[in-house]
Amino acid sequence: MQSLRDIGSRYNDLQDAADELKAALRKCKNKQERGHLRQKLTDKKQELRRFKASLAGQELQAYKDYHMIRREIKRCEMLKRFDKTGSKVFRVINPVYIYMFPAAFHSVFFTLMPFIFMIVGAFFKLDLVDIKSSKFVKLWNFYMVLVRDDEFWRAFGNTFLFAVLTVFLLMVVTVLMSSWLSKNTKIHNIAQTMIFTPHISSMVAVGILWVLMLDPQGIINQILAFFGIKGPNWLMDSRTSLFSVALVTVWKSIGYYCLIIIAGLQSLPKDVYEAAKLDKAGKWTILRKITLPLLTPTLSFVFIMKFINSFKSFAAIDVMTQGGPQGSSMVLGYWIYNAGRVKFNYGFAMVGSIVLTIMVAACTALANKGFKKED
Amino acid sequence: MEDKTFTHLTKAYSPKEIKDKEHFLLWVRIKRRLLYCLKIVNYLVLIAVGLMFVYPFTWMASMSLRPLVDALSFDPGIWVADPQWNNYLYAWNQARISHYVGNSVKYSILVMGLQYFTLIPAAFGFATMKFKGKKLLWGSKLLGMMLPAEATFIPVYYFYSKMGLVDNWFGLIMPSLVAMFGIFMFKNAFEAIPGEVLEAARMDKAKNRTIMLKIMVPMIAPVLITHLITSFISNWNEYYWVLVMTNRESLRTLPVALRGLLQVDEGVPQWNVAMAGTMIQLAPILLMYIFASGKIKTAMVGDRKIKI
Repeated sequence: MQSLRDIGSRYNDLQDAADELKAALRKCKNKQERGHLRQKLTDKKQELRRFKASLAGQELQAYKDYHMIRREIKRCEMLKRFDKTGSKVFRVINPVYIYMFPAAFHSVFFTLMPFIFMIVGAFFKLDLVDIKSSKFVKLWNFYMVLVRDDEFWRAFGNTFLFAVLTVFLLMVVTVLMSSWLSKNTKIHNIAQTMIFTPHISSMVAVGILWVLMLDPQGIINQILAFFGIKGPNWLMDSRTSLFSVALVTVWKSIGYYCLIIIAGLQSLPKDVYEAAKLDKAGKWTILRKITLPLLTPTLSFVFIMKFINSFKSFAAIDVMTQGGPQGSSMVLGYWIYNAGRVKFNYGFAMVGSIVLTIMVAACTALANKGFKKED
Repeated sequence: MEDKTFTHLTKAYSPKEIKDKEHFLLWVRIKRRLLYCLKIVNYLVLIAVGLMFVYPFTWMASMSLRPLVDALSFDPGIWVADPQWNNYLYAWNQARISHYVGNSVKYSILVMGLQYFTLIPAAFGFATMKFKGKKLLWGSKLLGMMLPAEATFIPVYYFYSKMGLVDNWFGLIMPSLVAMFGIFMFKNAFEAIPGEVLEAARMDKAKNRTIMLKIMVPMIAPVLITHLITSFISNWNEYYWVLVMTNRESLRTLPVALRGLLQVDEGVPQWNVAMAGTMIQLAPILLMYIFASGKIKTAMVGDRKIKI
């Protein structure tokens, strides 16, 4: 026992000496002295190693234990020091500012600065390569876009039309379908799973797929021809292009909205339905008089969000029609991209962005007001 | 004597009554049969409607295995007589899909790995702590959600080009790191944790980071998994941002590259190769969906709990 304790004290002495030397080495600036100290340190380490090599069995175990204890103490000391500096820092500033820094940076860099840049930039003939050579042109951009550009107004109308079309189609289809699908059998589950598939695949892949399906010789027209109808050239016809894109978007998101409505349906109170059954109400009456009114809050929220989101649809248009024949499927998001990134008319793009922002903001504000009233 | 005359004295049914009863029972049986048939028809229609949503993908897979001549006929059949696996090889090598797959993987892994370092602290701060300018920051975040990316991309592009972040991985992943969607999700999850837990931890003088990492984050593990799934899907499918913020091919991801496969100078695009590329893009997500459809469905539909 005594010998083990001796090993510990010897080990500690050696380590202490080594640590002291290390500290001295850290402080020392003189080159010659540093070399001298380093030599001493290596000597001490060597001694320690020799000491370890001379041990065996229980003694070596004791040596290792002492080593572990020493390391643990060192770790604790470091943690303590770290905590001290930490608390010193956090006494001055609230730690939440560190947590919030990325979020704040993001909202300044991606929201506020672009917002200001957008509004200011709309009054300039912008030159992004050399920003100082851009000229102040007053309302010229607005004049050119809002008065002279027919395509812009077409895009503006199309944006609304597209949103209304998608939301209307979605609403009708999903409400009917989800009241039909809302059951918990295996087959129903499989059908739900199958319907949900397009929603998780990317819009680009779905777009490419439907470019093929809506080809003049594609599957849709083959099916129509089977019934003796001559299908139009869906995507290349200026009358049907926007409608086709809306159809594809609807096809993609039916599953998602169906599942949302089903989740809403299954959380409705059961006793109301029992009461209706006792009164011998038909299925159609139940759907019309009970389900729909109870679901309205969910439904309106979901579809207003969809309405606002479909102002921003870009990928579908870009892949399938690229603004379509003669701008028939041009929407605002694509118009801005076209003006800014393709034609390099940055001022025009800014005006378009302002219009799009106002549209989205107005709709969101209206929706918020409506929901507040309901609550 | 005939039985007929005595039946009214006993409690037995008269033949007419028995006949009626039998009639009624037969009618019930037929009705049940009919209902059963209707049920089966209903199931068949259900499956047919479901197939409407799955068939196009299957057809796409079959298209990708056809030779070009067959592919251009747009035959709606699914069976391919001699599958041309070379289409995939061609897409992988000649159309450089391998490069774009690498980029896509890199992009999603970078975003998925780094986003939690920024999302969780921000959500934690919004959910549990008080500080100056909280309302202002929250308002600006909401404004950011309202402000569509389609409207702000030109200013952001300008800033990026001045800071040398265009065609740069860091610039590409930066906006996704503090996506509002994730902050909302984690904020709601943190707020759902009972306040007593937080109070008890504060009573024991736990530091904020300890509370966040050791107490709160393990409690919202299911939400983390949900967010991981949704963020993987949305990042793998990300199109607009990558298209706008890259000029060179070296950083473009798979969806943008697929778009390029359709653009040919003359003639028809090579549909079979394009389809093969699209199949490669869809493969990871569809595979995930086949093996964990229930999980993915609940993860994606859970989004709606977010409120303005």
